[in-house]
Formats: sequence, structure tokens, C-alpha cells
Amino acid sequence: MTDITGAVHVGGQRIPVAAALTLPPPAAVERLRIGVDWSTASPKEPNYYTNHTAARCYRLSHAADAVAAWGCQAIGLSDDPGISATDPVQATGVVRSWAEAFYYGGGSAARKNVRVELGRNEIDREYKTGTLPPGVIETHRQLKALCDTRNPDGSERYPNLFHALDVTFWGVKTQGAAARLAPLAPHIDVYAASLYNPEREASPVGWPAYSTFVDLMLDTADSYGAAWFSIWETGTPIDHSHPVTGAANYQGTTDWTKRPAWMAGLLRYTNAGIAARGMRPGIGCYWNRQTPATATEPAGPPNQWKHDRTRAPQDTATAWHDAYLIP
Amino acid sequence: MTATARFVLDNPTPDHGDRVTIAYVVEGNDGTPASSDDVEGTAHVGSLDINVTVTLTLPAVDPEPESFEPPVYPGLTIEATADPRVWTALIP
Repeated sequence: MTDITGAVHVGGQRIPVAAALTLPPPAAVERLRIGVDWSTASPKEPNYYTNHTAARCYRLSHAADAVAAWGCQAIGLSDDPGISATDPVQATGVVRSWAEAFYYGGGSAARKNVRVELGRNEIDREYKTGTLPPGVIETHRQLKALCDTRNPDGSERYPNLFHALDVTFWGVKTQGAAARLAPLAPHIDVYAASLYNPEREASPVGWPAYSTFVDLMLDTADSYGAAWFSIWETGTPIDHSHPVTGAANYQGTTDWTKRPAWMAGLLRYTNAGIAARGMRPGIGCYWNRQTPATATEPAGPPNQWKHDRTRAPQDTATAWHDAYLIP
Repeated sequence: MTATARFVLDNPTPDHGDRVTIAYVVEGNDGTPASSDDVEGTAHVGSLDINVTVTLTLPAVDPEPESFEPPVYPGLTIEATADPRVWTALIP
């Protein structure tokens, strides 16, 4: 038994407070398998670890590359331009060919137990208003059916292939994405979230309570009847960083402990929330990149791990990499 | 009266997935209400003693301002609520 501790300040007096809190014995709970985006940018942002348990891939062919390079156990897979969003015959044809090669083709012995969550990236940003086109719904239905394909003997053909719906917190909170995408709910296994720090663009960066944004996505996933919950993308700049370059101490004094602790806490909170709702954890991937500036848009928030890597092992890359081990 | 403080936990032996509420309770920080009493004296005028009385009302003293540190427990993420005295944690 351990005490929970705190203190009250009454006028100028500090009064320490403690009370006994007995946690349940550690359970053999599943946790999100942790990883990072599989970048093909040139030059790549350094990931510092090459044994991530998960990866986020943006092309079908990259999934096998990530398994070969990192030994990944799980992959969030999206964005391949060869997969139609609205033509179910085309989409299932492409995915079936890929799945056959991935799970049964050359070198597949190393991949047969790899979990793949397949879906469109942040689909709420593709369909921001109105009702979903019928082709989108039908494509989702047929891709889910493909994931559930049975062999002639009744066994699952792709037991580790899951159909996912990836949605941004912003879309659900402000743009009615939960209701708009609800027709896809019967056709998914995994509800995946882009779960960035909602205050990452504030200056200084804010560190909101997890319940203020994680719960909405968990509750939406639960209401959809999703069996699994994943974080396909997350990230935040360091505390008091320059909003574009990521340099420390832009406004005030950088607290180097903030980002690693907040990111590890996000995983703990999400894992607990998944279990509390009776779902199962899929993958948790950090987006170790920064959207570059364009002619019309400024650069995105500097999420990259490099901004506190000089503090290793008290850095975000280590905290994230080791998070799979955190009870 | 000296102020004292304690925690109240709604569930001190939670299970996995439970949400625990941790509330600070402060006692004795009540301030002092306004009070009045007489001030008495005597004036001597020649051989005459004149007793004098006036009522003096002392102002109330407000309770001291209170603030609350985030509770700490190893391995738990404890979050603030809208009430600064109340915190919650989801048990992983």
C-alpha cells in the first residue's frame, strides 16, 4: 500500500496531506504497441531506435519494409494512392493482392503474425460535410469483408488484417465527424485516432488534461462498437518552443520534463481508457515530423523528437519507445 | 483555530479501469465574524467622575486563501477538475 500525497496552502502555511490508496495487483493487460511513422522523406527525421514494435506506413509496399527493418509486430497502413476510396471492386482487388503477398508470398514467414490495421488517413478530412458517398460506404463494407475472408475449411485467411477508421480529434470535436462517419461503423474493426496535443499550437505549448480530448475519441469508438482502439498519429512540440523551428526557450524557460512525461501519460491514460470501455489496444504511433510551409500555409508544429534528444535518456524518443514497457 | 487538511477518496481500493476521485478537505480555515464590545472609561470633572462607554465593532476576518497542489501517486496520471479541490485518476 502506498500513500497518495499532496499539500494545501492556507495563507502562508503549507499543510502536507496523505491518504492510503491501494491499487489492484498488476494485470496482464494489453497495451498499445508503440511505434513511429515510417518515413521515406529525404532526409528522414532521426527516430533514434530501430526496434519499434509498431509503425505507421503510408504505402502498401512499406509495410513489408518496416517489418524487415524494425521487426514490427503491428502496422497502421493508409494513404496508398493505388487504393480507390469509392470503387469497392478496385480497392478490394488491390488490397487482396497485397495481402496475399504480405501474408503468403516470398518472405512471409516473418510477417504472418504481423497485425495490420488498414484504413484511410484521417478520413474526416476527406468528407467534411454532408452525407458520405454511397461508394465510400460500400468500399468500406467490402474491405471489411475482405479482412474477414475465410478459407474453404472455415479458418480466417487474414487473421491479422483489420479494417480501420482513422479520424482526427478536431473533426469529431468541431465538425460533426462522429455522426457523419457513423454509417461506416458496422464496417470497421479498429477505431484509430489522430490524437495530437490539442494545445500544441499555443505559445507556449499547453498541456491539457487527457480527459479533455482522449475521452471523446474513446467514447466515439465505443459507441461505434469498435473492438480495437489505436492512436495512428500523435505529437507535440517541446515546452516553450519556437512555434516553427522548435528551438527551446522561445517564450519563457523550457521545462524539458514536460513533453516526455505528457506523452507517456497519454499512453497510460489511453490504455486505461481502452480497458475501461472493454475495447482492446492496437497501435500507438508518434508522428515524428513537421508539416513544411507552403505558399499559403505556415509550417506545422515542430513535433520532432530531435528537439529534446540532447536530454536523452530523459527525452521524448526514449519515453515513447519505452512506453510499451510502462505498467 | 489552526487549519487542518485531509484527503477523501471515493474508492481507496479501486479495480483496473475504475476512476478514483481524490478530494481535499480543509477544516478550521473559517475566519472570524465581526464582533463588538464596549470600551469603557471615566472622565474626572472636578470632583465628579463620569463613566463613559462606547461600542466598538471589530471587522470580520476572512478565511485565508486556499490553493491545492496536484496529488501524487507513483504510476498514476492524476488530473485536475473544474473544482480545484477535486482530482481524478483512471486506474490502469
